[in-house]
Amino acid sequence: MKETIIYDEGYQWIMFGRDPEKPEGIIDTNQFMIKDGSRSVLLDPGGVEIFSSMLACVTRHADPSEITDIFASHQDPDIISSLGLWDKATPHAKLHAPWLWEGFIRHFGCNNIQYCGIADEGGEIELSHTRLQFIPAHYLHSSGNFNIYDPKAKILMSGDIGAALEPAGAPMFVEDFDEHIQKMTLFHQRWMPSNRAKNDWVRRVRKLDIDIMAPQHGRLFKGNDVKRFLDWFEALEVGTGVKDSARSYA
Amino acid sequence: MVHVCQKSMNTYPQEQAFFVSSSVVAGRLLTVMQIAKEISLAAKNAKAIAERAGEKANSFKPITDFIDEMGRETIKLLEEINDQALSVSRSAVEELRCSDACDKFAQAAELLGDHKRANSLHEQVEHIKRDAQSQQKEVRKQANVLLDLLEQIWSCMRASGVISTRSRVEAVSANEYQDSLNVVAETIEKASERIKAIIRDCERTIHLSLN
Repeated sequence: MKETIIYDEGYQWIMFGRDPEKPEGIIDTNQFMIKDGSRSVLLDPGGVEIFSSMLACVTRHADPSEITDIFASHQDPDIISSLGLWDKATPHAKLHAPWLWEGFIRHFGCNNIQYCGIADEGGEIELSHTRLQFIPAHYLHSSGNFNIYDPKAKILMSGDIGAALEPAGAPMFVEDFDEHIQKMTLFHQRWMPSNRAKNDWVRRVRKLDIDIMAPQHGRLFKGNDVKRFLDWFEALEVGTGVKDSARSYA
Repeated sequence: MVHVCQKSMNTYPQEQAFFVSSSVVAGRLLTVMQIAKEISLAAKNAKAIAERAGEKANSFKPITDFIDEMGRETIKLLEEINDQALSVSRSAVEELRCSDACDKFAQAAELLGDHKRANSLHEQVEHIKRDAQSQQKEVRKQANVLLDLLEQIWSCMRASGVISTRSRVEAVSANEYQDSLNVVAETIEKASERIKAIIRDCERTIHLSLN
């Protein structure tokens, strides 16, 4: 699994992904770790299939006992189906995940880790150098869904927002935004159900100071590409599955 | 009326993971529960016939009480066995999770190679291995309890063979009620044979997956 340090000023943001050992047929995912002194946070640590690679990568940076917090943006298996194994690796950690999904996420196995439900309005985790914010992103795509914003590193971990379906080994950052659009369009139109939720999210996120927008699939956006993404996403009509199926069954 | 499909009883894979086989056993015991209820119903029929027959079936009456008691005891035992089978299955799932975690941690340690923190993963592997071993002991202990309970059902069913033979003997002196009482005896006999077949099959399944 490839790792890239995307921020390194007093504390680190590390991205893991592009795993060549990943079994075929499962979607490629980006996992993130924030290492701040003796405390580390895992963001969307991934599915059970990539657990070994992830644990090895994480251990290069911190002892598993130093992982104090895990964040799950929503309930999907590619986000958190490895929970039952992290439960054994980091039994004293806290899992921050939408309150809405507690009864569902616990199906992955959560005997030791403490489930801390995030309220619909969001919340915060305080680390030594920064205070991470849970930004509501409900219905984008999951009905209980959050992003993480780090105001000091100016990074927004945007979950499925900004995701792209790409072949294995794609570059880490978007290089040509216009060319990248075709890789994102279907994903956002079909997976995202609500134009109202999308526009509300865009309005709130425009107020944040963002250097890097880091989705859970595909490439990361930096600099002006973040604003380009917000403009593109605002103009995009989502929830097309309803229209498409209505046409098929008409 | 419940029809037990003999074919389906014997088509399960012979060697399953224990958490699967114990749940399969719990499922099959639900069928046994239905059959045991047939025995209870047969006991009620026998009682009604004995009432109608009056003095002609005097010697049959104590048998009907015995059949009734056997049916109720079987149902009670089955409820206990069902709980036990599910409890074993849950422990076996936990054991499987521990073993799975062991494998994944060992793979991660291998990926780390000579890294200074590889040792910390090896320590965790050892810790989880110990958990897995103690879980395995627990599963074996609970499986033995389950086998003991199955053996108790088996003994109950062996007793039912004696009851049905006795019923046939007593039916002879019940004149015009003889046929009806023979039907009761036959129902009990068949039901207990079906239960015995399922119980033996369950025991075999458990032994196979434990070995």
